[in-house]
Amino acid sequence: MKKIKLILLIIISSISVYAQKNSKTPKLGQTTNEELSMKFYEKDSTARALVLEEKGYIWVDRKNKYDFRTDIYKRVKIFDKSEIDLATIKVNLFGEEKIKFIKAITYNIEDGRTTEIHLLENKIYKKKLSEKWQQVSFTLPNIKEGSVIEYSYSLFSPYFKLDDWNLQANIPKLKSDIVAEIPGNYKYNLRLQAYKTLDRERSYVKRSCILYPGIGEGDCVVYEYGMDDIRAFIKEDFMLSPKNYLAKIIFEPVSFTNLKGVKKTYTQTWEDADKTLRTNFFDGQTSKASFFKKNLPSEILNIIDDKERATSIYNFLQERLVWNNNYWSQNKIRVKQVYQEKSGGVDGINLTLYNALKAANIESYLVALSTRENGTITKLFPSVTDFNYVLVNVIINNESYLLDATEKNLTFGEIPYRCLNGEGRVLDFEKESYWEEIIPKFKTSLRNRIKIQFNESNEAFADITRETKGYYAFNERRKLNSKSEEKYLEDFETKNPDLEVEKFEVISKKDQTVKTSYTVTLPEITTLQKTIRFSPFILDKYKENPFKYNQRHYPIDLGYEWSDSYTIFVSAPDGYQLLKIPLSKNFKIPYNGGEIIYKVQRSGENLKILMDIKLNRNKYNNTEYHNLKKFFQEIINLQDSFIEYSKE
Amino acid sequence: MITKIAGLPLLLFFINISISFAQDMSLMSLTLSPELTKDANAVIRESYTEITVEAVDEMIVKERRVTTVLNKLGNKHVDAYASYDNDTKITDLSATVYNSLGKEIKKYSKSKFTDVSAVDGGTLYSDSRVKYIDHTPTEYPYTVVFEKEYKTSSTGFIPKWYPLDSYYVSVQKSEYKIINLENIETRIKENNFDGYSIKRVNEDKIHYVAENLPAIEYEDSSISISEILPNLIVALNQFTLKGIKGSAKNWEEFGKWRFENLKNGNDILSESVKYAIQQKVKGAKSNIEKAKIVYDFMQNRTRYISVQEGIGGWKPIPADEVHKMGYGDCKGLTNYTKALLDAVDVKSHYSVVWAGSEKKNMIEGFSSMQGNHVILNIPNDGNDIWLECTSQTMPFGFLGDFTDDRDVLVITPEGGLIKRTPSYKNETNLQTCKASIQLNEKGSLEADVEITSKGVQYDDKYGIESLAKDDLEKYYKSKLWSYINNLEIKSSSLENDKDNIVFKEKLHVNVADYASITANELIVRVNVFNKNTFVPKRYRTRNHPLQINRGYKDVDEFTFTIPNGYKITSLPSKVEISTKFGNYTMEVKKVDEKTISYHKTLFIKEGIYPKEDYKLYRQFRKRIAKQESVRIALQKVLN
Repeated sequence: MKKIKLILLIIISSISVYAQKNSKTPKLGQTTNEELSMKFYEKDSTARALVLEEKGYIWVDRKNKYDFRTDIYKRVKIFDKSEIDLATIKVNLFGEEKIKFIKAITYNIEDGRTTEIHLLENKIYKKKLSEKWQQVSFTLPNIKEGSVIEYSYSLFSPYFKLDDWNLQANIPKLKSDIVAEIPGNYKYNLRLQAYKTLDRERSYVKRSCILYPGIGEGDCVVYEYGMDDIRAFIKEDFMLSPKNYLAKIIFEPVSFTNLKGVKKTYTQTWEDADKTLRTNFFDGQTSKASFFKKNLPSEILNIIDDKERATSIYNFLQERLVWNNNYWSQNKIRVKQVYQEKSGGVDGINLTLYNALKAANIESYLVALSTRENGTITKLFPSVTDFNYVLVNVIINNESYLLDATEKNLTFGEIPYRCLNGEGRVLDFEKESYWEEIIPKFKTSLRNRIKIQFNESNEAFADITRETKGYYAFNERRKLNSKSEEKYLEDFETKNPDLEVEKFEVISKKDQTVKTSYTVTLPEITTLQKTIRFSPFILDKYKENPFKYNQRHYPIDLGYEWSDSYTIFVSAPDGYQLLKIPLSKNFKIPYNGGEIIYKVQRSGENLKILMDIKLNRNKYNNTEYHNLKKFFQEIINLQDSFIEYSKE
Repeated sequence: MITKIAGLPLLLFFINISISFAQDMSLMSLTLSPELTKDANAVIRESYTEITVEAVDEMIVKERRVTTVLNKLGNKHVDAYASYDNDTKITDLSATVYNSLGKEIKKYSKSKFTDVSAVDGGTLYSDSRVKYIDHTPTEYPYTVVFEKEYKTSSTGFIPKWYPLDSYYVSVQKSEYKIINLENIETRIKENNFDGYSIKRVNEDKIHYVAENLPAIEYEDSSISISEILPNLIVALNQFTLKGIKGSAKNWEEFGKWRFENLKNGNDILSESVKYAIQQKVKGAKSNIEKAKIVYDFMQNRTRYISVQEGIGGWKPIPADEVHKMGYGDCKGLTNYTKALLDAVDVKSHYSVVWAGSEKKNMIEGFSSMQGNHVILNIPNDGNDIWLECTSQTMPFGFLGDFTDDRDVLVITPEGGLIKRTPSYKNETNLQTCKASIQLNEKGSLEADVEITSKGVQYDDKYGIESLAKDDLEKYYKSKLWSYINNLEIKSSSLENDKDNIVFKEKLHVNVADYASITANELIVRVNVFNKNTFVPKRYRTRNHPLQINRGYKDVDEFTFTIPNGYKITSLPSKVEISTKFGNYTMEVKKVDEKTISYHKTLFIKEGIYPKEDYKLYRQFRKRIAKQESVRIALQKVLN
């Protein structure tokens, strides 16, 4: 497998001058007989559809209010019925964006002749999705296996932000090209993210490309990029957002000078970005401490110990505020309102937390980040629009904690899994802001102590104490808090159908460690037979290998490292002898990737089994995939092995 | 404060007062009886529906609903939304949220409702929209007073009355009233009223009140809730549907109206299309053969695209247009198929059905707008054939579990009639899995597997035919055989015999380290390829009867060739479990020194059983699950 070049960067700065008009994408009618009679794609015979050609042309249209106009042309071959949905095109439009000049043709070979059928204008539908979004949709007629569809349309946008050009999709492409003709008064950074290099790449100045009445002509910078034979993108399990890997060209706005010569500058350095974040994105809500000094309960503000005071504020707000499931919305934020109405998005809630902590004189910083599904931040290019989440970083007695008040079941210093996505920007409004890796403060672990015995009625039973920490504890807390005990146990027994719970106790769930204990019977293991065989891993047993494939293209990212440990005692039933026991074994993933220790100790007819499983890293290279697969296979085999007792 | 809650029912007012006396209080226990809070996430304190039929083409519906939400899971029962389209106008809409003390905390006027398109992803366009409130509750319990009023010309749909409408909701009071200003003849049907306190206020009028209906808790494998909830359905004998007038007092008349009004003119094909299809069926010996050719032609030519606008929600798009565009929704495609069959002189009827894996009938003896899907019926001299026209891949005459075994409305030129679709019961849903398995001394195995599926098991399977190669691999590795670790698919081929409705999978696979090796044994789980370890959830107390929705039978026949250096010693004894829910047999036999055979049958019978039987059923499945994991030990031959 070829190694993937993750991100190739191109920086092209533009030159400020002025421009002229007219330039388009190809006209419909490019379909050839070869394409129509094509049965499969040579380079990927499993492909069920193929983009034959795709072209985008971005320019400023004088005849349309000088809006940005993007002409789109696309030609797609459909090999298989299962890709018929490609013939239905839906374009979402934001605010004042518009779509015009939709044209589409389906080509087929019918009874040996090439036929074409055009999309009718009255079959183009437009609907309002929500206040800000509209959708225009159409479907091409007469689609069959072997059809070639061809369509083009133009998008008009008064907005400065240009959409990314996606070179890669979940079907392969023969050819994808983008041309951007940018008048000199606009400035963008263009960035390529791809697994291979471009096949076409050119930039030049086009004189007099645009005319501003009464002002004169302007020049443009023209960027032309193209790539051929782009493979289909296939999503894999345990990967970071596909957005990080899909090949595309990104337009990052830098500045805009209007006709009066007033220049609006977008982010250029991270220092600019920090400022933009503070003023625009946090909406000036970073200094509202006085409100909280007045409104937070004084008994909390009066706590002397810093850690205790911070924890109390955190718990108080976590309890009080309800997250409305929105992330950083870029809408107006008013922390007073959030506090009073008791609900808000991630931004509102964690800004409230930040201000409240400030009010309590706790050293606090906002941390801007991007969640796992939102893609990682490219540090090389200052941008504020990639952030979609904010946490609070507090420093108490030189100890650093990350806080998030949106989730009820987190404890002080724990953050949601969605935040584990590389580095975040710690915003220090007085000194200098900096990057820091977002890592969980507490280790995730599971610890089971299981004691298996036999009672007078010939049945096996077990006493179990189960301790979880970190993300395991978070999940456990969530289950325990959202359900009645009866429901919790019903779910527990459904997951472990061989166990029936007799006694259950929650020893602790408020601290970082969640501790529960169970007394269970194992009705399937009885001394009614001469031979008793069973696996002593009666709980939290690995049954399925999460890694099932032979190939891996992208790195594995688990988010956090974890460890499991089991201590199992088995007391022999009366009159039985231990006949078979599993063998002790150790296993390691190279480069400190992980470890299994499995130890079996016999004392008379009784048995003690110790098992420690550790995954020491949260990231593994795609070349390490097989080691991980083997690692889980070992766990499964060891936990599946059984012990056998026999009566003379 | 008091004026603010003036519009609230007295009860909330009472809460308000009691609060000022007791600061710490379990509010709900003061005001809501334990019967209402048991198993409830929300309580409908008051629900009032008033339908005024102003004329045959004008109806005003007023609704007021006061819901107390007890916890997070109850939020969805507030149901503060209103649907509308070109034919339905919302005239009044508001929602007010009160905290547990009866204090108003938020008010949503009509303009504060979020307005979105009410269309799922599968529909290209529809004019139906919905307005709802986007409210994040910050404390529980809270109460929402929701009021709406809308006006529509479609009197074909009189809102039904479901005083209880889902699990985990109880009802304090629910009232339903119809004011029939022009005294249009009306029919009603009361369903499942028994055991509930529901009163008809006035025998001459349609006016009902239900009080103190306790919440119903969900349990797995129960009878569908829609079959047990009390409800009232109402239909007018004279009505309007999206501008089209109708009159019917029974299915016959209703069918006739629908035949004449909802498709007239739309099943005409151009002469050239007729000629083309007539040419295609030339030489066909019977109507069935003709119908097969037509169905195949339709399947290859079309795909499912849904556009619902105005009457288009009820009337098929013209057959000629479907032919030209190559797409349509269920109505359009069914009507097109019918038109093609007409062209070759095969009689067929457009038929309305409630589709879904849960079987639901068109109500016999009560005609009204019902159903959510259409299929095509070919009378075929009393040996009816049914066609699902929205699928490009379904075999001719096969319905699968989407529309099988239920009453449907068949629309003929003479009128409507109720007919039952064929069912796929018990043993009909058969899967046979045969495998010849070679074990080697390292514990790995190599096998040829052949799986044959029929009936609904065919229905569950045939979709894999359209999977891409890597998705097919994923299907075997992560779904069907996810429990087999180290599985490698060496080759696979699928055979879809549409004529006999049999799906066959042939695979060559190997599994490294399948058996575990100890010092002198090779331990092998014998059910390699069809392990069924399903155990129903344990309920400490089971409240509802058990329903096994669909029966099936699985037969597994494997032969194992054991590796050199090992011998067969003891094998598990034969297992036979026979219960009213079905049977299970498992037998492992030594064929010769090197060969073992495994034979298993699992038969599950559909049916409804008393709640006491749930435990027995769980026991049955548990015993099966245990047998499905049985292992055998092969002894090492010591030299």
